[in-house]
Amino acid sequence: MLDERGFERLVAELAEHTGGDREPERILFDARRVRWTSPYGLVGLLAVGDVARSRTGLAPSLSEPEASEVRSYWERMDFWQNAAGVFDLPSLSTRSHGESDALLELTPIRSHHDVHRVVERVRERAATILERRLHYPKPSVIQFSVMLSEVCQNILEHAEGDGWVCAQTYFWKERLGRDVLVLAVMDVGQGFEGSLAAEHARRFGDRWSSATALEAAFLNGESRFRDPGRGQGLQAIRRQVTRWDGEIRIRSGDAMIARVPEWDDLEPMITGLVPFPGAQILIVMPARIEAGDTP
Amino acid sequence: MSRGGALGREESSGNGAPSEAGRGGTVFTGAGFRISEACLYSHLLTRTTGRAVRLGIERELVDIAEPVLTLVDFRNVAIIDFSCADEIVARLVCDALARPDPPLRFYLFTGLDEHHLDPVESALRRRALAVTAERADGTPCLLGEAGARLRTACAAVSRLGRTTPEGLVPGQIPTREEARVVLEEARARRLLLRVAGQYVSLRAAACAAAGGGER
Repeated sequence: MLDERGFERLVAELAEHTGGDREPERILFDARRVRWTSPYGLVGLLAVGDVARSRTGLAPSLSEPEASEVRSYWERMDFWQNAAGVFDLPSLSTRSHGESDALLELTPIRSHHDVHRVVERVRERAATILERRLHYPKPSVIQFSVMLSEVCQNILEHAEGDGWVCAQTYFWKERLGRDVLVLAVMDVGQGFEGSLAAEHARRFGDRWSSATALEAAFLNGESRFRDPGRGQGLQAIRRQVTRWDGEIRIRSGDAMIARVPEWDDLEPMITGLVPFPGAQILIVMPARIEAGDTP
Repeated sequence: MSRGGALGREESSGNGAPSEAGRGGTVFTGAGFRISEACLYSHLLTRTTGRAVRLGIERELVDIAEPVLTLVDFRNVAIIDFSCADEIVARLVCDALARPDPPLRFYLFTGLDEHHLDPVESALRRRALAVTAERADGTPCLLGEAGARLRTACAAVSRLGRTTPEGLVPGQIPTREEARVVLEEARARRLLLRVAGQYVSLRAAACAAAGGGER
């Protein structure tokens, strides 16, 4: 399974293969046995590949999944087009696919133009998915677009590096018994601890860490700027996700902070993770339970 | 685009005495005030876009020596995010308040729909600012951070079009002095103008300047 847990395994293995005084060597990501991939896992694979490349100085190799559904999903999500800039893929880089059913295929975020393009791209699909599949009220389409814009801008404003976004809707049979919209956004930049350090680290002294940086940004709306107008994007996202009874988790450095709804038992703060650059954001929006529905 | 105001002269505080040496006094020598209009476009996303829009609005005003009331029209804004709302609405007001000397800048935000409110309110509250605004159906409202008394006074001025401190006593505010203080606060925060000893709602000023009477 290439999902949140699969991502953590990849991060741990990458640390093992690139730590210490090892001679840099080309890393092979063996995806042949992958049986299922979530949007978070798919963006995560790119992120881990990108970090592997920067740590070793060599583009990693990637063997493609054997399962045809997984291969098809990766193709439909434009994985290979994006992977071509990260992995060494001489024979895989020109693949194309038909119409995708994803809300948003894997898309790089490098400038504010990309944010405009992403929001424009999801507009019609979001209307269909949010209203018909998740039973959200009409204004939610704009609210979702605003959230998407803010979460993508987080990459531009704080990461000082490129990032990716993708979104998909599917049925969470075992965990929730409902449809969910899953939005994954990642970058491999300086992360929250690095971004906020100059402005906030001194105040925290020895307690300054990825966890305190995440708390400062996610719970208190702090940003790396002194300008009080900054830092409201994440706060707005948290409020909106809460209104939808959704979940948001942000992993950065060696910690993860989350807004946890009643339907999940995730810890709101996890520390001691294997350090990884940048920020990895997962948002889950469950279908609304309408009067008379049985979850 | 701007046009001259026909209501009178927006007065500065200080009762005509120079507020700061070397700045030529506090009574404006220009011809009353001007009205400027800014029509915002469809997708107001990202801080970069917001900054460009704000600078465009401010550029239009840079050479105008008189006080200016700018009507910022949201009718064509399909979407605005929080960063853009901060760069446009909050920063416009912030910059207007931060100007060390005249001419004063006022902003009336019009045509606001339900989905504009959260980003605009949130941006204003983070900076403890307030603005005079109108919903898409023309209903006046005060957005952002403002106490109950200030809201009461602004609502009364909006309803009356123009008034003196006495006009709010005792129905809205208990005493004349309290009414004067709260109206001055509203004016200092650019929520209304003071013309010929009267406090004038931004809408009334805009209508008078357009020669269309007050609402």
